[in-house]
Amino acid sequence: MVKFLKWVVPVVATSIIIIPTIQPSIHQQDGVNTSFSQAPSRSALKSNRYTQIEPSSLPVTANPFASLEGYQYRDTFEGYAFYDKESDASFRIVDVSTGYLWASSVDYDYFLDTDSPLADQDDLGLNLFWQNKLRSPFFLSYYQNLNLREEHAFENTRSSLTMTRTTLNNGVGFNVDVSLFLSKINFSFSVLFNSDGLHIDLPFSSIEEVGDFKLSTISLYPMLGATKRLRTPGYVVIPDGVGALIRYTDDPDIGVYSKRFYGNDEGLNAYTLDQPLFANMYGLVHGHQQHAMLALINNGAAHAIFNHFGSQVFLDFNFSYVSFNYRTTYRQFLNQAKTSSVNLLQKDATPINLGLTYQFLSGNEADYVGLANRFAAMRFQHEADPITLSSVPLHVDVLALETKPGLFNREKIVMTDIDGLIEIVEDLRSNVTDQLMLNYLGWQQGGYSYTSPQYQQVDAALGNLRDWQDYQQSFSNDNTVLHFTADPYRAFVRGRGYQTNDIIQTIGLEFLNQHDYYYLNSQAGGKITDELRTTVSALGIQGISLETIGHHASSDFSRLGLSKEAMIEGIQDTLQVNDAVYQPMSYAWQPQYLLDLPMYSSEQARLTDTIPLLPIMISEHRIGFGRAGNFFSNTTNELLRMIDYGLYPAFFVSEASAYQLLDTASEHIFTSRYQDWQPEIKRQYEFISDALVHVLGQRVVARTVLDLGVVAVTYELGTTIYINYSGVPYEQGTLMVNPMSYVVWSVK
Amino acid sequence: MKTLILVSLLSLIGLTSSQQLIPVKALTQQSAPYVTYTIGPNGRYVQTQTAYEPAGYFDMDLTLNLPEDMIQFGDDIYVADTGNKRVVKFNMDTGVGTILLEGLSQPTGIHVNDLGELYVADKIDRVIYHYDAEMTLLQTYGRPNQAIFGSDSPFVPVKVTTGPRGILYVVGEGSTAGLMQLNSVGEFIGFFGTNTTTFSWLQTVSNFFGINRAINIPTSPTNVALDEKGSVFTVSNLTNQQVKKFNIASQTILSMSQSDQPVSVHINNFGNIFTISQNGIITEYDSYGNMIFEFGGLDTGNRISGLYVNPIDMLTDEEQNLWVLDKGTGNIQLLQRSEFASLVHEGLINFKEGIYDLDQWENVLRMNSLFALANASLARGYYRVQAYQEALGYYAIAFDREGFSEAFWQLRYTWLELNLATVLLIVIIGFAALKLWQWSQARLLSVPSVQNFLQKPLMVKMNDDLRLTRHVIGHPLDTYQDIKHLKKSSWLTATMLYLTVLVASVFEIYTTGFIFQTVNLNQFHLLIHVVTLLGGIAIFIFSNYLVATITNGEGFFKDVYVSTAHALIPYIILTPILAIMSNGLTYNELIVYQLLDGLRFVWSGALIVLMIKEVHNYDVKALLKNIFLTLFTMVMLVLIGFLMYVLTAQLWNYVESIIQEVILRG
Repeated sequence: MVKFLKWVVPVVATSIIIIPTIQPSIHQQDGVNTSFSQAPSRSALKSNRYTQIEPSSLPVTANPFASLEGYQYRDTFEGYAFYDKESDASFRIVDVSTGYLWASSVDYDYFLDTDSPLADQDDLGLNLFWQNKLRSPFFLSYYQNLNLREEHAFENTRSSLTMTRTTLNNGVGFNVDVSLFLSKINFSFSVLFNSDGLHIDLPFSSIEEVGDFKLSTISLYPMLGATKRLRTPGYVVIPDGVGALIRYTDDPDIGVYSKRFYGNDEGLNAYTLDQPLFANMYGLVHGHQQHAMLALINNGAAHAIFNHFGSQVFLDFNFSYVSFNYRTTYRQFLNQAKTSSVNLLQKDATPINLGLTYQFLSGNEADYVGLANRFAAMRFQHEADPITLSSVPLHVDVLALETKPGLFNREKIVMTDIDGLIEIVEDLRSNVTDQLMLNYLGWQQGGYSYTSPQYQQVDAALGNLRDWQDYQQSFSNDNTVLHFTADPYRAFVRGRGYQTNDIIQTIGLEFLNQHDYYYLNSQAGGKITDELRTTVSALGIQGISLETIGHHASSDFSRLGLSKEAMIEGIQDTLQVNDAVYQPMSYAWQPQYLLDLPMYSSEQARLTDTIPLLPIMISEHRIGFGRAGNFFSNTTNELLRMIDYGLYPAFFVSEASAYQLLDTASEHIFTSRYQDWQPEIKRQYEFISDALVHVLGQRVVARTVLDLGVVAVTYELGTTIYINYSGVPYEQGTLMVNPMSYVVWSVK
Repeated sequence: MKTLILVSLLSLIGLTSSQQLIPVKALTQQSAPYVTYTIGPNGRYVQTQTAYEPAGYFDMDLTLNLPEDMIQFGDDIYVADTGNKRVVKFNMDTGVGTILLEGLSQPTGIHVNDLGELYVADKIDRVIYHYDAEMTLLQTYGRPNQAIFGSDSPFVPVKVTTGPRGILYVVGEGSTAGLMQLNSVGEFIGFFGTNTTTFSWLQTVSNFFGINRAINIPTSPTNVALDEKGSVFTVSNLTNQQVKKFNIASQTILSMSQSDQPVSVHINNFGNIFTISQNGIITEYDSYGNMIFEFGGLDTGNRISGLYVNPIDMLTDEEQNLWVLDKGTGNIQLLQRSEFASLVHEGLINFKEGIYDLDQWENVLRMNSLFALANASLARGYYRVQAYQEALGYYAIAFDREGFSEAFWQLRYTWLELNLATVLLIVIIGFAALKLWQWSQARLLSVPSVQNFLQKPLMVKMNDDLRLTRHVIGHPLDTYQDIKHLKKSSWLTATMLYLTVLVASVFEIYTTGFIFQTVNLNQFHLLIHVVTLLGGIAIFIFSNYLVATITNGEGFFKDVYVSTAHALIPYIILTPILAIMSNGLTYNELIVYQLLDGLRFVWSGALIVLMIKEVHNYDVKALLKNIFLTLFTMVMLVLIGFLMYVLTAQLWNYVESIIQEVILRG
């Protein structure tokens, strides 16, 4: 009895203390029950606009298409052992705890044995060419005149591949010298494995074009992480828009997914047709929450193209790799009317110092959430403490001034003068929140459009700036932040404040011009930005918000001769922590305010899911806002999406009606009057705030699709937000989530 | 090897091809891969919230090959799987497919009637098959043998539908007389919905001279649909009025024009009309033919949801979601109606039922301040509750001039009722002031200092010139004789008159009331106006003088220049009066406005004719000849100017391209 009591009493006592603390505190939020709120159809929920339910699959214990036979053990770091093989410069990385093997090449021996258990019905198989090619540590393409050719390490016996093992203080690896017989191109690359993962570098200086052939692309270790058909369940994680997955489906109709990081290079006359790749990474998951690989493009991302081949498209393998594009052909127009042209080859190769880093994850970390967090850890590793917020912030763009054609000159349309701005801010602070991130657009002389890059003074039509400064004193130390929005990297074609030398020239030596604006190179843009900071600072304004440069960079073929990568480095030098930037790609994530982040992927049919990859990456380190709520067509659905993704609300307002914007360059703004939107701003803000206030600045640790349209997002301190996009209630035990609603489940 | 190179090349080409841009501005992010437009003020296209969002692909368990038609019946969707020579149906909830008919030749059109009976138009067999709900063949409709069908009329059925009393409406390839109407037993009743033909300018001229040109043949309809009331809608390959609605007498009662060629039309259960074009543009009209939404586009190779390869047909389900059949991919894409579109639809339904819910439309307007339909509906709503001032504002934004006129009439009537006494008083005071001015003028002119001032040469000249401008109104012939022989008036006076013409025209543009305003002030370019007006006058003067010199005209250049200026006096006088009057008139007094408007041009024109006759001393025959040649010369001068511009531009392009090529190839 005493023995029994010795067990029972502590257990009961502990339970009395602990159980109340793990009782969930439930915050139930009803959906916005307007008569027009409508749930997505079942078909929509099953489409790639949403994340799909994770199919149950058998544990992935081994990689049957790679072995360690013939490989030499080198060293083990952070639980992963590195092996390599001299004959083909391939390598193997073994997860010591599980034995799972990541291979740089695939063993296709199964194909030679028709009775092999690894063979599947309708396998396409491999011919001798492909067998050789899959052994090669690289794919290379080159130009013979204007014709694109391809070569790999084992295409010709007179090509050479020399591997030299290296052991450095912080890791092991090897150097490879390549000399190709057909293309007469030589280059060297190095592989290093250490506690930070696997690093592959190919310096531009090592590339030699001995003959007349010109290098086009190099893809290193294209078969790294390849899987055969449906034998290994998993998916590819891509930063397409807000983030997307391509699940391994064994469907030849999927075709080839190919997209350039950071969007196409307009300097090469290439334009982005859909959502670009917003971050310099991709990931592979072999078995959800079992094994994953994160690939980070450290150097050369601006010239890198992500490729994914689903199985049965060309091979029986699903494989993804990055191609670095050194040179391309282009169409040179011979007259302004563009009625005659010639095709030419880019003269000089783009100087890319190729650098890739791979990290390997396992267990619960091995999914897209883990990959996003690992990317964030690498991206923000040198930064101070994570962002701290006291309440959910609200981003409000306030349009100040626009112009339209007048009788003699452009007529000014004052949308929100400084008094109006003060009224809006006062009202927001009184009725909505004081955690405001305000941007004043079109404050400069001449208004919002057709003025950049001239930002010397505030337009007199907006009123007395001193009133604003006086007013600002009352909240200078609190959470309300006002930025002046500017676009210093674009110049109106008939404007002033820049010189011809400042304009980016495309490969055809035309000025890069879109919609009556030139794009300026990073040197000129940086200089204008510095001047802008001085102006804004003198006005007593807290900071600047930058348009365009967060998602637009291109090569400059003028005399300055900057590659897109160099242009991005210039932009990065300009950006400061206190800035805000619109639609930023990962190269422009230095500022703490990231505005207007994408909320959708490109929804190409090749994609199977949309995931909040970007928002998860920044959740702990940056303040990320979604698109303006004025323009929602399915408001409740988009609010739920923002809660699911952890994005903060945003609006675009003005004191005057958007009707005034007709015939201005901003006539695509079809609604903005603050008076009309104030109640809706308050309602939407509260809807989002009631959820996200519980998880401010916290890292997402898990995201699970419980049912069609029902998502659970768990944060690091244990709070889970259940979001129900669907039109039917979701019940699980004591949990009940109403249709088009959410529940916050916090652990005390 | 070749395949991978091809893929690499394709991907590079895809990555580097110069095509349509995605919007880069932060403010224009969309929840769909296309921008949705609606009609804003003055009938212009403006952006709006996404009306229909991509909702994935219809998950079917059968593969379609080049499908060409589909129709909903109950919970099923029937598809003409043309490439597979069959007709299939799918459950709309589950996607489970059933093959209904196989072994057909080329089923391009299908229809299911209320009894579940299936009609199939087979283009190769040139028949229409009629099956019962169990797919038992009931009847085969071949080429009608009635005499009224005509012996040469082709019978190549491609689309079919049925109307009240089982009448079949058949779209036939090459059936230029319109839809073929067959009764339930297959007898030809007549042609229906024939497209009209129009004469081109060249044909009209040719016919005038009795030259026979090719006869105009009407375009045959390419698709057909019926609404719930049995009204017939057709789609035709025309440059305008591609979609037409016909009454029972085959008269067009509604027509819609698109810049894009529609391939299919569908009418939903509350009468809204949808079309889809070969470029993937979906357009929604209300039942009155007002465009509400337009969106969509073609896929450029990235296979993006919401864009199509070769869209061929569409329909709406009970939830008003769109189903789009893509012949190019063999898929059916779904588009879900957004909350915003639901709001607009509810407003339209209420409006049709005579419910003017102002709050509802104000909510739409809050979401899109430029939405013309919302502004117009609010205006009508306010008008109905006699809030004319509010109605006036919304009519103005919607650019509904007729509505504005009606509301303004009401306001003017009320104002006059209240202020008639004041108006009369102002008229009396004005009359008294005029008399006072005339009296004081006479007294003033008798003052010696004033007389001395007026006797100065410059003042005398100015006075004479001014008198001449008044004189031309009553005595134009004398005026021109004075100008020609007595050298009255001057270069300066004439130039001042031309500038006054310009000022009067600009004054008119800026002060004409909304009802009669024809110029969009926001798109008005003063410089272009000045060049057009003064340039036109200059070309006339130059041409007239040029022609006169070779046709025995007596007038000097100065005579023509000065006389023409005086001929424009009626325009100068009447234009400001007209502009000011237009602010107080409504369409009820349109005739007054039009009379005055016409008078200033006719009067000035008549003075110009008289000017030519008098200045050049022509008889009637020579006058007509001069006028004709002057007009001809004016046209020729404009054409030569245009040709010179084009040729210079071409030459410049040519030289530039040679220099560029030498630089690049050198």
